[in-house]
Amino acid sequence: MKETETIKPVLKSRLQRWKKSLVNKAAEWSPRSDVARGVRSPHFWIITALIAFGTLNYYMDQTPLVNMSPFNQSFFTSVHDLHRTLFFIPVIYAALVFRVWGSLIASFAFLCVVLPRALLLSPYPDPLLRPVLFVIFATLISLLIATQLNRIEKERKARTELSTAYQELSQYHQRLKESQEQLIQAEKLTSLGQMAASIAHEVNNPLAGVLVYTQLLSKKITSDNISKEIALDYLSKMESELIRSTKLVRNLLDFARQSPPTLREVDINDVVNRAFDLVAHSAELQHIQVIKELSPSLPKPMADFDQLQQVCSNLILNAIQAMPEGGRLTLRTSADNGQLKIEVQDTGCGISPENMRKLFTPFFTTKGEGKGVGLGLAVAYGIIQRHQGRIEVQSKEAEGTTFTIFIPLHHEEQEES
Amino acid sequence: MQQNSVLIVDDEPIVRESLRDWLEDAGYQVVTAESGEEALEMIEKQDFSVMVVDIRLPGKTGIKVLKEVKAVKPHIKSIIITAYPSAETADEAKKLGVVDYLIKPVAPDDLERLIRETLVKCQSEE
Repeated sequence: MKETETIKPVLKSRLQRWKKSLVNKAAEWSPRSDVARGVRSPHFWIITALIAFGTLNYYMDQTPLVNMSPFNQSFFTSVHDLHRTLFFIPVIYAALVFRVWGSLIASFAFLCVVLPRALLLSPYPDPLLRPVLFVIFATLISLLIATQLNRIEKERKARTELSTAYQELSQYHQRLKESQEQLIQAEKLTSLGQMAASIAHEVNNPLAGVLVYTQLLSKKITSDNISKEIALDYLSKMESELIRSTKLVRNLLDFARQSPPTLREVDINDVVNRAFDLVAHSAELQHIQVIKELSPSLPKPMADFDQLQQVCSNLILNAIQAMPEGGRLTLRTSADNGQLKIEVQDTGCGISPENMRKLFTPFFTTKGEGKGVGLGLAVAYGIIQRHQGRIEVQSKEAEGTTFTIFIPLHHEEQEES
Repeated sequence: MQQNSVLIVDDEPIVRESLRDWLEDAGYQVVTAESGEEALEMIEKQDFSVMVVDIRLPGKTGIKVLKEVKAVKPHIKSIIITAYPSAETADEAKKLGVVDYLIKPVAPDDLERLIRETLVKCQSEE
């Protein structure tokens, strides 16, 4: 007992060392690193052992063992087809593990095993036919397995790559969405700040004026030191400032209410003419040449007359204010592609690219204080959007600006939400 | 130099006019300007005791005007009036040595008192 116990690990370690050196030597001989890797794999040795076992089986009748039981039975001496079939196991194994090269090498080994018997030992006519057929079958089947496995593996790899790429992409998308939301939030806060500043300015200044004049009036009345004219002058100043404040409040309400348009058949030329009439006086004061190119045969879209007029007068007023030194204002209407076009073109100062982006933002204005709070275009944008139309701007600094409104002739049914 | 001359710089006509009417009634010589550029031109031509200036102006801001006035005529005392106060402009104004930083709407008697006190201080310094 003791002896075997001590001998066993010694034998085992020796066997292992021997195997290791053999593997390393085989690996050293082979010029290719993947061959070395194959030789180091335990599968290689299992396949080699299976082929060796098959070879032993196949040539059992040529060994002295054939006279001994159980090797003297007919299984070992005559059923060579079955023996050859057994070779399919290592060949397919090799194809599974080492793919195409494994299947080719194992099939070649199979051929090497069957050839000597066919050429030297077979007593039959056509000795090559059956073994070679077996080898060809084995090669084909194993190659099929190897290539299919390769394909499946490639697909799986591609699929995992795709899914990781998809995951990364959706992460990026998520992050992008978050930062976009943050940006929108920041933008909202900025415009809220601008709004606060504008309202503070627009309301505080008239109030400051009114406050001064009330106090001045009461001071002068108390000291009995006031003429009727001066008092009336103060009162009219106060009145105009109060009117200005109420106007601002009304504008704010218009903007906040954003009422849906009440649709009726509208003559666009009429809209443009009336909108222009509202601000014609300013154009005259600034010596602006006005050109109207209004198409006489326009279809009548369903629209809100008042709201469209508000949009047009906003755009025309902007155009006039862009030409303080005079210029040319062109108002153009046309129908095209199922939509109506209103163009308001000026030869004024133009819009800088950085202002272009903020054009429709509420409370964004380039006008001097007291001339506008930056609601006109924001309101116009909202109105045209509710008409399912759109506004386009083309501008070149120092050359002029063209605003184009598109109104669809036929409204798509709006989804109620 | 006139002892009681005041320059009011504000782009809002109503603010300029109402303060001018009030201060003139109180016996001051008042000149108004609607932009920083116009104010600087006037200061070049004429001397003032006190300048009342808004911060948000078309063109040069009130702070910029203050800096330039300080460089040209450092003896002019300044009072800021603004509808939209901020910590930055208040800090800057303080550094430039303004008398006070008032928020609109400004009570005219407060402004008048401030100008009177400033002028008295100026005289005692002289």
